[in-house]
Amino acid sequence: MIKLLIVEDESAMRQLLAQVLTEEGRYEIVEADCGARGLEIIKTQAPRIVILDIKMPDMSGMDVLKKIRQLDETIRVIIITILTDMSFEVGAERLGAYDFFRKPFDIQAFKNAVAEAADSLS
Amino acid sequence: MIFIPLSYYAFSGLVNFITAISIAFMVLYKNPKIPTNRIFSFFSFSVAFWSFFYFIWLLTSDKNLAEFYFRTCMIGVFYMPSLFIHFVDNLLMIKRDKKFYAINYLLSIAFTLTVYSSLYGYKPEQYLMFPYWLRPGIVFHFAITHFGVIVIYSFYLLHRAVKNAKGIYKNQILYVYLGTGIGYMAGSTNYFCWYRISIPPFLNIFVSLYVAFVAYAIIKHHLMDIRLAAGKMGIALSVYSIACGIPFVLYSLIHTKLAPLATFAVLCGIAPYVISMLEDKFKHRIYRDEFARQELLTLAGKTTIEITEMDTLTDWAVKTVCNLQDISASYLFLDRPAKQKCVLHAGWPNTIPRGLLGFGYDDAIVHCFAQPCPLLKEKKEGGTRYRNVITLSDIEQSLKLAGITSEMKKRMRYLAKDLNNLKAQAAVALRFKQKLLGLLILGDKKNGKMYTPEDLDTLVRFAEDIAAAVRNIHLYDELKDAQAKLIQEEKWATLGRLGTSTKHELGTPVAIINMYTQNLLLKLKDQHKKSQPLETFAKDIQTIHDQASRIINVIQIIHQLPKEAQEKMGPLRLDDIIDKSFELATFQTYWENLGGTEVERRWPKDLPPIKGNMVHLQGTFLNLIINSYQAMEKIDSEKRKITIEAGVDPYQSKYIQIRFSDTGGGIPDDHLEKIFEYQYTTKGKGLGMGLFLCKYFVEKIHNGTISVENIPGKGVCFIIDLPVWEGPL
Repeated sequence: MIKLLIVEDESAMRQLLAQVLTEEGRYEIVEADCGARGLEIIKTQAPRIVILDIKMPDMSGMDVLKKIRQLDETIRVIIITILTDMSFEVGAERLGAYDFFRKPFDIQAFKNAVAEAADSLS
Repeated sequence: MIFIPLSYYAFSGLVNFITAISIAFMVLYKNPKIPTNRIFSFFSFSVAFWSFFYFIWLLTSDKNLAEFYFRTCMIGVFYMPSLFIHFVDNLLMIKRDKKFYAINYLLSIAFTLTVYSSLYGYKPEQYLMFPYWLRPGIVFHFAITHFGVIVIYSFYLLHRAVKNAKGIYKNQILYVYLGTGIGYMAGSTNYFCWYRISIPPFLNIFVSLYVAFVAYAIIKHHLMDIRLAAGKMGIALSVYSIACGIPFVLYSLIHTKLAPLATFAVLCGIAPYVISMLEDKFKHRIYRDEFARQELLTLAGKTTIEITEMDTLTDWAVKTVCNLQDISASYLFLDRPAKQKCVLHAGWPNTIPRGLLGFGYDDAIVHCFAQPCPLLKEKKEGGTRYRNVITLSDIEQSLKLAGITSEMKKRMRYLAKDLNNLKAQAAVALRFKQKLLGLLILGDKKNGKMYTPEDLDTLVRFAEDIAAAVRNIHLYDELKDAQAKLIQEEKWATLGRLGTSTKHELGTPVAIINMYTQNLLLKLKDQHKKSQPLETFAKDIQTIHDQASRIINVIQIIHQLPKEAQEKMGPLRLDDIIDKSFELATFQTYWENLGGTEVERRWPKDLPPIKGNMVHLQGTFLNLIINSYQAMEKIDSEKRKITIEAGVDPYQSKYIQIRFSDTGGGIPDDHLEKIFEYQYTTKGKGLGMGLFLCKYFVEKIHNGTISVENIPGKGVCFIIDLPVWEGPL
């Protein structure tokens, strides 16, 4: 089982993603509703994959991503955002995000991307 | 023939002399610069001259001396026709070749040269009760012909003018016509004795009637407007007669000189005070009605400041000026720079549609007020100034003045034409700080009198008040426009802020719905593999429903915001206002969701409802919340706190006081008083209108107050007072 963290402030979205990924049977899902809590979980529970929302009340997903990179280079981060600003995409790539999804996105494609990330870990 | 003693004729001469000399001096004293006044006063001097020697002649028993006086008195008579026709021409504004007057005066001089010779008269002898009366010489017949022809011609002119004239002018001419007519008729009775027709000059005393008539015309109809001068002269004469008379009577009673002299000295000392006191009383008496009206009008002018609608103001002004000053009609024109015209804005009692009439900037009546006009120039203490009023009679008199260029005359005639077209007597400029804002045009006074200088003063002052009010309304309208623009701008700004968050605010639920339905469809496809009870989908469907509701909410908020805010007042609960304001604030700061700011509400459950307008109050609190939030962004989220306290204002129970405070660190004291100013901002972003609008909403729309103070070490506190709703709930 691969430990996977979902950082998303919108609970309906978080729950859906958790549900979808749980069904895959490969992941142990941990949830966080804001950036600060997400970072805390990363430090204490060391998830291998992080699904990260960009726009959150307390801090930007980009900042969380930067901190993750400081903590652990190997964590696979998949960005999900509603923002369509291209600079986020470019910035996220530079910071080594594994993949990038714009909400709403295709669930199957998302599942595939997460699976790919999981595969790339080993 | 009834015997009338000689003393009657002597007395008539004296009466004629006194009245004629008085009127001559008074008319001259009033305004020697106006030719009509001057000539009329010379005419009166000639009457006085004749009467004086007539009087002396009848008192003299010495034959030679009596003959001398008799001949001397006739000199006055020679000049009467020449001066009279000159005066009539001036009064009626008849233009005539100057030679005509020259010939007349030359004739008068020629007759004067012969008066002491037998060519004029000879052999004084007793006729009727007169001891010495000349027989007519050859020149006498010429002189009497000259006299008769010119006087009859003058009366023909006067008669024609009376028939054609109108208004005050007609009244003036009528009295001159009647007065001088009676005077001449009475005086002519002297001619019978010359031809030894046994009719004595029994009507001689009625010569003084011309003075009475002319005096009446002067007092009642302002001919040459000398009533004040006449009154003052009368008062001075009476007071000094008494001051001289009392010592004289005293002397004749006690026959010592010291006491009467002392009395005389004392009386002469107090006389000036008595005169000035009586003059004041006299002035008040003759102007009593006018004073009362003027006071009313001045008072009325002050209330104009309250009027904020131009139509209301102008309608009120024309009506008021008519009613209070007893004027037959008035019109108010306002400057319309866009049209380069002064356009009719109100009329009373003739209501002409607004804008139907107008004077262009080049029309004489506008031109004379808009530019410094020599016609309106007057010298006052402290230099030259230009009057703000002109009357038709001013123009007529100025036309008679010597030394006026033909260009000026032309302009004055146009001016008179402009006024006559409106049947107007006077025009007053509405001026504010030199700038001509309009014209007040006034018709006749209802009582047929002329406008007195005091009337005109009052009208000018009234016009000043109206001009100030017009200016106020202009400013008020400009302000209203600016405010409307501001509110519009603020709405756009709000929309702009919404724009950024709308993508997220709508995008998020749409994304969620999209993905939930996607997921459900996937599950339905898998249904044949592993059958799931339908209930397992219920939770997902509920989520979809919730997200759809969220979208509807957002749409409602967006729809509501730019809607034209209606200024309708109703009872509002503070809870509702604050709830809705936070709803909006949360929405506008969506990403941050107010950054975990703690909000504390402290007010009693039974707080009375506020009389207010939800949209405006929501806007007000939204502004305060956003401001506070922006101020608190710098500090840790645990310390961010907005406190709202409310209660009935301890000092005025009809108001609810709301204290809105934050922990954003406050505003530098020197900025505190400026923050409500238009376009004032310290944030470096935004339009600087937020708090200006808050003040506008609270104070202008709700009749409340808003102020701000710093809470040392914490933040700012806005103190808002809003009225309690007192109507039914």
